[in-house]
Amino acid sequence: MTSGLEWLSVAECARLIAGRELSPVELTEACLRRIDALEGRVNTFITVDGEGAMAAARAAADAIAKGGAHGPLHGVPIGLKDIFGVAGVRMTAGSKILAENLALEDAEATARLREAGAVMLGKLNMHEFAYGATGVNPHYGPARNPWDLGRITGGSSSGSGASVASGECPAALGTDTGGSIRIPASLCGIVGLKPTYGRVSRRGVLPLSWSLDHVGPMTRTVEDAAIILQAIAGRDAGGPSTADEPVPDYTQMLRQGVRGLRIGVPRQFFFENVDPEVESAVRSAIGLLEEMGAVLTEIDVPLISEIPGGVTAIMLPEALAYHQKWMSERPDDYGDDVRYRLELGATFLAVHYVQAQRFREMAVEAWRGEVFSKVDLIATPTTPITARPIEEGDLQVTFNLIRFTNPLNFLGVPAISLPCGFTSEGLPVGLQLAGGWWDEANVLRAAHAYERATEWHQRRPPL
Amino acid sequence: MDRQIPTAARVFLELAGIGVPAQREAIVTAGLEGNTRRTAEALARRDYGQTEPASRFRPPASESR
Repeated sequence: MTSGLEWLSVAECARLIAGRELSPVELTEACLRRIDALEGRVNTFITVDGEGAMAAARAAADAIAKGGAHGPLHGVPIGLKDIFGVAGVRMTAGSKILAENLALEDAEATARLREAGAVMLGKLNMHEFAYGATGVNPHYGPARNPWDLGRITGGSSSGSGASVASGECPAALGTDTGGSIRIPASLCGIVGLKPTYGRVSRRGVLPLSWSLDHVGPMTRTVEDAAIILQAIAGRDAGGPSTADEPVPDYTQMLRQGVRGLRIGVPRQFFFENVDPEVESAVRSAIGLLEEMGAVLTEIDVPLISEIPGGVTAIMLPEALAYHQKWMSERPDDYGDDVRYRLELGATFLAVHYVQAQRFREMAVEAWRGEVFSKVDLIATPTTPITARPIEEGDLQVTFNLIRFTNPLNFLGVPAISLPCGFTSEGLPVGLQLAGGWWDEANVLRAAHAYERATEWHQRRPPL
Repeated sequence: MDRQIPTAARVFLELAGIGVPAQREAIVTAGLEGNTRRTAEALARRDYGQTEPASRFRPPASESR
């Protein structure tokens, strides 16, 4: 890659392209060369669409030359988790079952990125059918953590996390049903934003659990997450998955600092059984936010111990409902861990599912009244552990990885993970900030203020 | 004639249309007795009052809109 291009942010790419200082062709070629050089080690892509990307880059360059209108992502290469439809490109969802599946049309999020001018680089590795948090995939191999190639990336958006962290692309899209954007962001040392449920359309994205699935950006800076979110957020008239909520200007609100922001530090659950190095990094980050003017409050988080059970009683039956036909006809084509989770979905009764959906309403009301009426944000570790060795196995690691993220899918609130330190082994640690419903602006604002005051996001993996 | 009583896991899986090789029956039974039972018991303890489920049917927009 041309020296330095691999670490340009989305904002820098867009500015240089708009100013005719950088050609979309040059940038896309550089990304493709970087992918070619690193794929044997990080295994982040399932399909690289070099031809399509170069065609889009040339079209973007032509538009610049003709002085045409530019979208905010004009000529910027972006990778997509292999669960997003891209017309004419294979979409496997990380599975053997869909190994030859060709997407017929763009997902709504893909279409919005195109409309903003982005260049689609290809389809990124992931946990099979997004149904796991390690990113270890039996069909396409594990995506490998750029900070230690023997360790997991976290998942399910494993390739998205590792490709952005390794400088193969400046940004990617992921999905998050129990933490699948924030977990790989945390373990790979990048930024991952799960917006409010319903903020971004899920149309054209292969579902895991309709009630819990979220689409969001994975980037190396908070500003980039804001730029991507701006491009993909908002009501989708063609599908039922979005809400008709106004979309504010996220980048304009980024630089307001944290002075006066009320940040709640949970008394329960979110700091229990945490790796001491993770807790130390996260508490230091919270302390810095206070020094910068945020008002810290210890806060009780209602119903928290029961929320993970509610997630289970919704996610498992919904996932099996989607996969039932394939599970009856081709069960041996699933990996062992995903097959087990799908089978377990059959053991929940309808009454469990309905009660969990009732409990969700109660939990949302309780958090509205007892948490987000008192504070603007809560701050927690994203994960209680850092990246584990790939061979360590799935079940206990998954349980630990999703503990602090999946309650926020149940509540549907926006939450971000951003780098807040490294362990003595050189592994990234993530800080999770979550806000009230539709308040991505304050989540991004606090994250951006923290990022500007620290240098964690500027560290690069030893590739 | 001896008639084998099917396990709960087998019944659930068969009702879901999923084949159950013997070696998987034991794994799913363990999950049913662990994760599923814990979750189900916790959900059963709660008083939901008049709370309605979070997921709701959305009728299509009226013709006049």
